Amino acid sequence: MITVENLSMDFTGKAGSAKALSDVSFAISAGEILGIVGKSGAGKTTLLRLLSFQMRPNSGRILIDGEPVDHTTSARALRRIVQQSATVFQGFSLLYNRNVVENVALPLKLRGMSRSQREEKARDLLNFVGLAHRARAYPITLSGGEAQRVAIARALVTDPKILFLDEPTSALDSQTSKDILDLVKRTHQTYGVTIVLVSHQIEVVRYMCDRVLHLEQGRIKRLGPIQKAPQFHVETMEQIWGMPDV
Amino acid sequence: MFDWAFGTWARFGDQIIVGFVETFYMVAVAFSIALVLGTGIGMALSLCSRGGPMASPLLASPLAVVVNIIRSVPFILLLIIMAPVARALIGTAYGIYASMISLSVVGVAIVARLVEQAISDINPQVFHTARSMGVSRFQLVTEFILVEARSPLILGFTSAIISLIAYSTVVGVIAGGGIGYLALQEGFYMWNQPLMWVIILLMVLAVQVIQLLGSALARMVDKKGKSRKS
Ligand SMILES: Nc1ncnc2c1ncn2[C@@H]1O[C@H](COP(=O)(O)OP(=O)(O)OP(=O)(O)O)[C@@H](O)[C@H]1O
Ligand SMILES: [Mg+2]
Repeated sequence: MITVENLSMDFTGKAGSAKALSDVSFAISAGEILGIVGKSGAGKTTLLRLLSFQMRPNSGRILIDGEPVDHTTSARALRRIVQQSATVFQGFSLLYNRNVVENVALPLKLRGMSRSQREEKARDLLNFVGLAHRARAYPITLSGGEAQRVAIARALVTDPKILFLDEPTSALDSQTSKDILDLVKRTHQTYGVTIVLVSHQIEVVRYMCDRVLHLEQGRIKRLGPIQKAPQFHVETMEQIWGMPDV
Repeated sequence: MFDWAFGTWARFGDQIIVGFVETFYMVAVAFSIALVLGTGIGMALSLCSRGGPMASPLLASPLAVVVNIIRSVPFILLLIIMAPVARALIGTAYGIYASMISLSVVGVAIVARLVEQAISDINPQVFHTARSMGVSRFQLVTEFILVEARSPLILGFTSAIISLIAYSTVVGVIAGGGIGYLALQEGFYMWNQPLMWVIILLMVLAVQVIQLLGSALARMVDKKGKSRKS
């Protein structure tokens, strides 16, 4: 469904240029939950932002259902492609001056849906994430876990084909994290959406993902299915593959 | 104790009222123009700057230079520089309409800087979020920037109005009319001190009221600052 070919990205700034990704190639199949893991600065967020077309790579390309998306793609076509995905960001991403239901309904407003229709849809999603009672609250009044659930509701409101989650639980305590992850699992089962989940927590990807992509300094260190046996206790990245890395 | 004030009011009340009406007329026209053009230019300044969400430094840099030049010319000199422009536009370099032209020019520059500042203070995450939703440029402005920055924008506009009122008192030198002209003519040239103090008092009052209204409005639309009940 999504094919990534030789993707590279570097940022040039005052401190010189930093290579965030080099020559990354892989594919994401429809309906899977792909985990992206790696240390801080490994390029996880960068890869996610390229996959969701929030920025363009320096080289390489991404194909959607075999169709390349590149500089020849028109702005309008690109917008339509972007709108088929949704992102839950690392950290707080709700808009402060809109209340919860307005935040969730915003992507529909951008698509021109009428107020009553979009708020109805938004309320359905708030029900799904268990926050219908907070519909009129402003984001500043939400707890971290609630804010993240609202962000997930907002991401789902447009029925995206693919959902990008960047460290959705890194700022939460373990019980709240588990609730959020179970919500993501339920989302996957209910809506059959493809999920790309970034995390630096091994336990999170082990709990969630079918396949894992391990990034190290902007390169793919390893990519493949992971060992899910619960009795198999993991402490290091290398162990999640189920056998010693050779 | 305030006999002098009442005496002054009895003699100059009508002129003071006319002066204030003229001042507010000038400031209202100049601010309306500044609001539209200044907001547009301020957005261009911040959004098109290097590293901004619509980076095009070729547009932003010259614009920034022009805005800075306008802001650095003392207003009394700007009035003189703008005289030929006023003559070309409205046929005279004197009076209330000529004053509006110079006030608008400086107003645009002030508002542009305030808007630029308000936008660059927006959390970058807002732009990431907008982009992830596939917004158009128009939607980025109307649904994200103007909504998330509305409180600092209102405070900025309030202080722009107050600056314009201050500037408007200077236009007395080109017979620009307004309360400043009255203060200059009667208060300074005729050395009518009581009149001057009455005018100062009324202006302080007017500025206070405008600031209070602006601050209250900004606080009302801000949902970010303090916790609220749902
Ligand atoms: N906008 C940017 N400008 C300059 N450098 C950047 C930018 N974004 C990322 N980088 C650099 O690219 C590298 C990869 O960053 P990225 O945010 O993708 O890491 P990450 O794996 O998501 O890390 P974390 O786990 O801390 O979120 C880092 O060295 C970072 O400093
Ligand atoms: Mg990151």
